[in-house]
Amino acid sequence: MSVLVQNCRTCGGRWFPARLMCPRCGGADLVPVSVERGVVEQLTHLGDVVIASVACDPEPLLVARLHGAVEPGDVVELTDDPGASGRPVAFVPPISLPREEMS
Amino acid sequence: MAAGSLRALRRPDGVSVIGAGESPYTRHPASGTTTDGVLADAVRRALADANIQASEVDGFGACSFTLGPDHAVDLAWRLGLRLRWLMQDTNGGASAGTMLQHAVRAVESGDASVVVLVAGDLMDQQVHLKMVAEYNRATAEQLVPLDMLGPNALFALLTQRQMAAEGLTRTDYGRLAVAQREWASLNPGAVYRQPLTLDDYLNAPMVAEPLGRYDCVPPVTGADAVVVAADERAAGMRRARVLGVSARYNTDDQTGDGLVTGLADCAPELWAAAGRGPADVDVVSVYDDYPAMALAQLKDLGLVAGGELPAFVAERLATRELAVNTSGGQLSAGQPGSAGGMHGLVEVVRQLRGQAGERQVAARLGLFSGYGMVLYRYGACATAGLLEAAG
Ligand SMILES: [Zn+2]
Repeated sequence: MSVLVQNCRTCGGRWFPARLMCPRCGGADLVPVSVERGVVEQLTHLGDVVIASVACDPEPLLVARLHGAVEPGDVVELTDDPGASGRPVAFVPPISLPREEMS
Repeated sequence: MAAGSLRALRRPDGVSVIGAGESPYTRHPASGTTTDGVLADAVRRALADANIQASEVDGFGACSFTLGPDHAVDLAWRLGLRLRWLMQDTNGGASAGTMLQHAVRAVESGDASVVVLVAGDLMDQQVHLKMVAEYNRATAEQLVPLDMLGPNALFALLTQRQMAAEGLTRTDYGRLAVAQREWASLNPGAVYRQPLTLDDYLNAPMVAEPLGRYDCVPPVTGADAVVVAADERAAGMRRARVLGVSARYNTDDQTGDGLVTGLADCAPELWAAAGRGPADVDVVSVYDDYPAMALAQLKDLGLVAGGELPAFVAERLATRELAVNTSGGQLSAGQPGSAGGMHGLVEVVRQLRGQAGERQVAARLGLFSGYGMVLYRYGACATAGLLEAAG
């Protein structure tokens, strides 16, 4: 399980949601890269829905929906599959990438 | 002075807001209420307040989420305005500063002589749900699929970060909400005027912890407008002279904690331009979509230092010693879509022109700020302006 974020091949910056140019170096060589886990920073409940800020190491910061028993400070697996279940995960909807980045 | 570049640097005697109007805010608009109807109502009220005829207006700016398929020019046409200068703004909670910044330069440069700025929306529940679902691409693609409608959860997470960073508690935010309700009780235009106690605040239903019902602005229908003109034009009129307007957009690419807004960068240049400091301010309107953001803006503008927020809330806001959000703010007056961005400017203008009725404070120098347009994790637009009573 993982989610795709953008990786700038010029400066190494990692971005989510997708950008058109790298905010750090201005480069346009942005390619998708898998990120498998992050740390839950804060979470809140909207009824039964648990929304969290999840920090990848070293970046980016994601807004995710948590499934399962997860507390702030926990490392959680990331998934872009809304139906995933069984163990604690953080769901992050997939980014729509520019066409040339699709493989 | 022939060169256009030099003319642009010339500072005329002054540019002022000479009138303000607000179409009454309503939680449940009567059937038949329309966006263009409330915008037109606010424009008529502002023109009457400024004692200006529509035929004298040659500049117009509008911000509305619900004006479509019409644009600013369609609205101008239907208002009968013949113009030399026109802008359409899309910056919601920051729209007053955005539009005022442009309008002041337009008057200074001679591109327009009398400018009307208006913001407002029809905001019934269906419209509100559609707006928050389609706010921008990141919202539609990355947030709505989380079963998260609207920004409450994002600002709940931000408020948790602010509580940890500043030593704030729910009681502190409650004191702010209660103080604004006390101001609202003096404002016939506020939708919520009945007293609110700290217990009411703390015991209200939770929306997204730590945010309860009274942390979240009630959507309303309404519109706000101001009239901007050169001081020469407004001789003898009570007016609010614009000393400076400053704006920042996307200062951190959404990579921070959201506790510092673009106002932190606006503030130094604003104070320098005006030759004044935070201690000189008599009346303040900060954009209060959530109490945490009101406090963040007061800090960024220099009215309170980091680490001193709990004492500031108790000693200066709860006591209403510092006149902040004297209309009741959006938390009590309501959030009329994009007019929420204009509401604070209208209140500061009214205070500086001595038109604030029972809530009038002794005000020579007024400060307003705007904030908004959540890109992904928090707002990305911040504007602020400083105005002085004149005439
Ligand atoms: Zn880069």
